[in-house]
Amino acid sequence: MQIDIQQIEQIFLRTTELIPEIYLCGLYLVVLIAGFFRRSSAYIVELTVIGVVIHILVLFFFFVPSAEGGLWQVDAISQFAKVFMSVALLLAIILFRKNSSLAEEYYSLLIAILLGAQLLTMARHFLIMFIAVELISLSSYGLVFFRFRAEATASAIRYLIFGGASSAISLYGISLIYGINGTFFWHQIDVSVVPKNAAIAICFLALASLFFKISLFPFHVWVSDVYQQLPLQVLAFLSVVPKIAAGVALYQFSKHIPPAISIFLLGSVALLSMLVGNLGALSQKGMRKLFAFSSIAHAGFLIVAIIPRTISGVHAFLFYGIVYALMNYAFVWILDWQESLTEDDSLTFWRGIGNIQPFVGIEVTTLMISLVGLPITAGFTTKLLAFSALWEYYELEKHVFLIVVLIVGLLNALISLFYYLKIPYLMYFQKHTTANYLSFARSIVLTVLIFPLLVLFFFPNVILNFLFVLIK
Amino acid sequence: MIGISYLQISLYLGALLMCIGVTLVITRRNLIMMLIGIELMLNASNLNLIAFGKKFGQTESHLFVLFILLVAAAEISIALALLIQFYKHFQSSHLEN
Repeated sequence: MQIDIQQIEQIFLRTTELIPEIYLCGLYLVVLIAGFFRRSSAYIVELTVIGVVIHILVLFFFFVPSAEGGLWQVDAISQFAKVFMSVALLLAIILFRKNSSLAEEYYSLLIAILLGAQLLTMARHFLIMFIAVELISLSSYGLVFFRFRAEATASAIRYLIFGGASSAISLYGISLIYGINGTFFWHQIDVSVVPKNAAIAICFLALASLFFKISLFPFHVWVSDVYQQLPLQVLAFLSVVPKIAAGVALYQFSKHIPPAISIFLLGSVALLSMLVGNLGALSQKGMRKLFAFSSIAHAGFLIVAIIPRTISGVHAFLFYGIVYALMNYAFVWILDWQESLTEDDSLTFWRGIGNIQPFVGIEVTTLMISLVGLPITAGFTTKLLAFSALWEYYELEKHVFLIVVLIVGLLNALISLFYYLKIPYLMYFQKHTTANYLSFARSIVLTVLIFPLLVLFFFPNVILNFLFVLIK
Repeated sequence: MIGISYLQISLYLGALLMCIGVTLVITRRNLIMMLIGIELMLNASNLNLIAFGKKFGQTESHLFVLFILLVAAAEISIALALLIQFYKHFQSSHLEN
């Protein structure tokens, strides 16, 4: 058997591109082992925070863009997404620290999810995609269980069965794509050799696990059940990071399939997720359920930015991701306040709060307006960018389905008005029942999360110029 | 069986396994049966990958199958750990609402 020395050298050379990921593997082990020696939560939190801060520095210093055509590819998009996801993890750990006086293994699982998400943003091959998605999934099954309640075990196991089934479906699709082209590399895939409908079905199967991660339409069923059980830290983190990672992977994959197929596939999935999420949210009475359905609807909107498969679409997607992370963290922050006061997470908690605490009223109303996507908040800018990228693509492709997606998307913004504005309505037009005051420290954090939503409406260029320069 | 190649046989068998797996996951409420269903679905894709690998004369797909087996083992071990916890709380392995 002949061993190709050059090939082995090539492999060693390419590992320099993976320094941030190798560092994360090390951090994972350190945090896991540290938990055995001293079982105190505070010490593990400090270790994790310091580790993630160093990780962000590593990301800034070790940016080695790689050549096309490998199993993975480090480029500006993946690097930006990695920094963004690491900051999101850091914020989640710091902001929601109090709720997580949990077992120490918990933090190593969060790091494993970050590692999986980073690999997913670089994937250019089905094997890498499969391993990255499974790394995220297997860690999140464990995290759902970390509240140690009876219902949490039931949710965790339902989540696992759903996730396992969707990754098995995805593998079946991958095996069929392999059967068509004889390759797992995304850039060599050519599904146009089979009839169009068959190609749509096969691509849909192959992407099932990504859809599951983004919580898109046929694979969204787990969301409301699982979000009901997650610790708040994980809720904030899981509702943002895997979606961004899987969205980037979806963009990189969809570049290699013919436009007619990708428009129909992504367009119909985005459209149905928006409808299912928004219509499902209308009848919800609990904050967590509302959050779950709103995150399904937002996943649909995120995918609208992916459909064009253009650079302006990616800019819109990443900008949406940042604003969405801010909105979600603020939402989880007010949920945290509510859950620290009462066991029950129903919307009636908000009755009359706006009248006795005008400041909280204004902040929460701003948040809800931003979630709907109305001016003067950044939620409007994100939807404007996503839909204008879609419109540009329509002028290029002249595909009627794009217009349908555009119209349904705008209609959905209207539907979402009804349930998001329920909270401001309760805050201002109902009698106050319980005397709950938001503490000063909490309101400062809330302001820090919500103020950027206003700033980014007036000066979106703060982030957009940066994106324009970085991602060409 | 003249005129039917090994590839067709494997693909039909794979499709059959996939269908049985999906049916088990959807219709059964017993967690063990649902896990068996997932395993059958994974093996359907393994069979497909091996068959196509023979068609193209590549070993790439064999490597993929090894990874699938590995991840499936990890997944099942987590599933069984959760199942034990589930059993402790509910004294049953049936998923009910």
